[in-house]
Amino acid sequence: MKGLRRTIAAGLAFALAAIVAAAAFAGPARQSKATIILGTKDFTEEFVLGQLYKQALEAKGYKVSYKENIGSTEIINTALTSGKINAYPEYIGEVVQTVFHQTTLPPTARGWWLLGKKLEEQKGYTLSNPTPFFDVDAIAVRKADAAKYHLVNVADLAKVPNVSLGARPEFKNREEGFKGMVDTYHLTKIKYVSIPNGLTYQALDQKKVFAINVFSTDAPLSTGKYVVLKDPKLVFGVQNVAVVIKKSIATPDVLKVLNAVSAKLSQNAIVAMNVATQLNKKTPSSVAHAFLQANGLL
Amino acid sequence: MGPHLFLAAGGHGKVVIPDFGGPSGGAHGCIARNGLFCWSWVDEHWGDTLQPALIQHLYLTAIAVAIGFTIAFFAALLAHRRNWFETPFGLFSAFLYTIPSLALFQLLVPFTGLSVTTIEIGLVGYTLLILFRNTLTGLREVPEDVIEAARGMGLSPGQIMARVELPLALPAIMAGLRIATVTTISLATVAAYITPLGLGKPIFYGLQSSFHTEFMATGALAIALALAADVLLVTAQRALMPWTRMRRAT
Amino acid sequence: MDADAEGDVSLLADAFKPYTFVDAFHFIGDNPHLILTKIVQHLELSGAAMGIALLLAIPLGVWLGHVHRGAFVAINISNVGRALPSLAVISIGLGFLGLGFWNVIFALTVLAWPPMLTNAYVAVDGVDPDVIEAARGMGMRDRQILLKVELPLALPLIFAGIRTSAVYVVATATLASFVGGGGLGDIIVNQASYFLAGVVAASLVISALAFTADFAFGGLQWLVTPRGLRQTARGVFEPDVSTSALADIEAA
Repeated sequence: MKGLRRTIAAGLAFALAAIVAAAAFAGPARQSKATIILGTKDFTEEFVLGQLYKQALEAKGYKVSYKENIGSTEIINTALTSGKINAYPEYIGEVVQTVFHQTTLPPTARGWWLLGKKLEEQKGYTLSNPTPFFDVDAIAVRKADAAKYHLVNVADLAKVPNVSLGARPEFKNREEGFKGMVDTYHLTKIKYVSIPNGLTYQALDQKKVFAINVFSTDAPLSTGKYVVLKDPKLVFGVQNVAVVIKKSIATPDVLKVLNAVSAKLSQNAIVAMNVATQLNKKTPSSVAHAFLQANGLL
Repeated sequence: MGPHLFLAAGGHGKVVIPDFGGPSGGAHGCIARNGLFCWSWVDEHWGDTLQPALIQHLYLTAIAVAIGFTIAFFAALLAHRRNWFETPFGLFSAFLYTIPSLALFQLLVPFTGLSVTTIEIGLVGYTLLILFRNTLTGLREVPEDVIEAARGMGLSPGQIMARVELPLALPAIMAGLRIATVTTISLATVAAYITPLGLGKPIFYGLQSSFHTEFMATGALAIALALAADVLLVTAQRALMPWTRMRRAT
Repeated sequence: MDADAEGDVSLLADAFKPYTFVDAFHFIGDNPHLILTKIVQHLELSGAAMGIALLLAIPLGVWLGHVHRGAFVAINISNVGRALPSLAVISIGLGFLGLGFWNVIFALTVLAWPPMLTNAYVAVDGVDPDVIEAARGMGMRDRQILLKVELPLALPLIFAGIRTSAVYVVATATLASFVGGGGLGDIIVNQASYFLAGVVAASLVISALAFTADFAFGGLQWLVTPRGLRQTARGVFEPDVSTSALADIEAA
């Protein structure tokens, strides 16, 4: 049996080697003792925001473990509360409505931010200062259709027969999304078509759907091919950005870095960065770098 | 009420918006038109996007196949010696195999996080069935009389395994390795849904930003990798076992 | 895991708990319309792709096997097909055909076609030459030999190929959700709305569909196998992987 024993020993050694190799490969991420584990959601604007905060923190000597493209609000919030990440850029309305399901909402935007901050602080997290820019969910239609049916508000979609709305999967069941829109504007006959995030404009161009859910700062909206419908009842909320961050790592110094970046994110700035990444296909990392450098934050 | 734009606390400094540059290739170039395959992009980003993704992908695949093979091999050895082991392990690996990969990766995240570990556990799970079945089949198909003859020549069970059974089982084992490898290459692209690693990363990013070249080029690269791996393993198989070539019926 | 994470059921997307598996069955019970709609979409995608691939693969494979030509390509095409990373093929389909039903059908057809072609070829090509000689001796013409001798004897292996393809297509159709194709994958990519219970539920349904396809075609395979050639019932119940594995050893 000596031969068999030798084979088994060799096999175990091999297995051990393979596992060590795997650990070594996975190792660097763990060995870096990353202080801040920064995550982002799953769309380009979040990649830009993530890079902005990441590079600014690194420039001030912090170690950042970057977990990009985690998923929608619901998913990334779970990643936060289960400790897989400890910070990420979030839209204030998403905090208040999607994470905390608040139905009684403050009358001012600043009130939303204060409410969000209070709710997060009860759980051991906090919010950095809000950005000047906001990016809300919106509904867009083709320009020709808007003219044909005289569409100005979201409620006007009731005028159109056979309306289909293309949107990302998680939008469907949200009060601050499709569900709320249907209830508030009485759009009972609208059909929901689940389309992945990056393919909505393509679906609209190819006439696969009548309308799509967009983000108000999306670069394609600046081309003039689409009309964004108004949401006077604010179904889609107040959506300035703040970084949700675990209290234990949110030292005054860290907050100072984050707030300095946020202060520079005006509406024009974010749209310009979206154009650069979404239309001109520049990498979020290079665009963030250029912006931070131009504004003395690196 | 409307959403009030409000200035962040702590200073009104001027915001400088630098020129990020137009699309590579100009306003009417391939990228501006979002063409299906822009060589300029591939050229420009081979080093920072495609090559790292390719190397990560090779690592992910190699580690998964190595670990999967080790586990499956010893499981097959055990099942060969103790027949009762085949059913539980076979059912276990078959069960793993039928779980859609997208789901399995998501189910692992709460336990092992957004990490390479999650990906590797999933990928290893998928290799087990084919490697186990093929190795076991290969071992079982060794003709009894050959083993008898070896026993008659005075070889110990360990020597029989090493010098007779394993070499004869090698074609089946290699076939299994080949299938497992290409399957793993394919599944590893899906793994990027959980954490952006490997060739799946540019594919998903390309899909998410509707950037044709990114996912077309990466898709083509993934296909080329899988085919290259397949050809390589077939060649290795033929080189190691020239006698298998004569097996074809016609 | 963080201490704060425990018991945060008020927040969404609960972490996996042991009873998530049980919750999955509740999910199916609570959302029959959703599950049914998705099953129908999933089967439409799978069925259409299988149908088209069948029409393209079987006649061609049978004919090539009959005239004993194109061995190298016919035998190795299934290896090439199996090696293709499905996500890559689906993405490329999106690039060429845009969003929706047809680009997924294109990709799934590309993935379903090779095993059926290879099996059809090997099945007809491998019919015992003596049997064919005998038939010729009895005065049968070429076409009669094909239809009355080769085809019946080839059917079992042809069905084995269809079975392999069917399971693969049902499983791969899950990825259609990444390109707006619908199907059960829509639930799996939407953990945000349907939670892990939904993800598990959809997976169970897909597995069930795959097993059903395997079982159904396995049964058909058994039925069309001439009584004399039938081995054990094992061939019907084994997952398709081992069947293709053994076919591979031969074809390598």
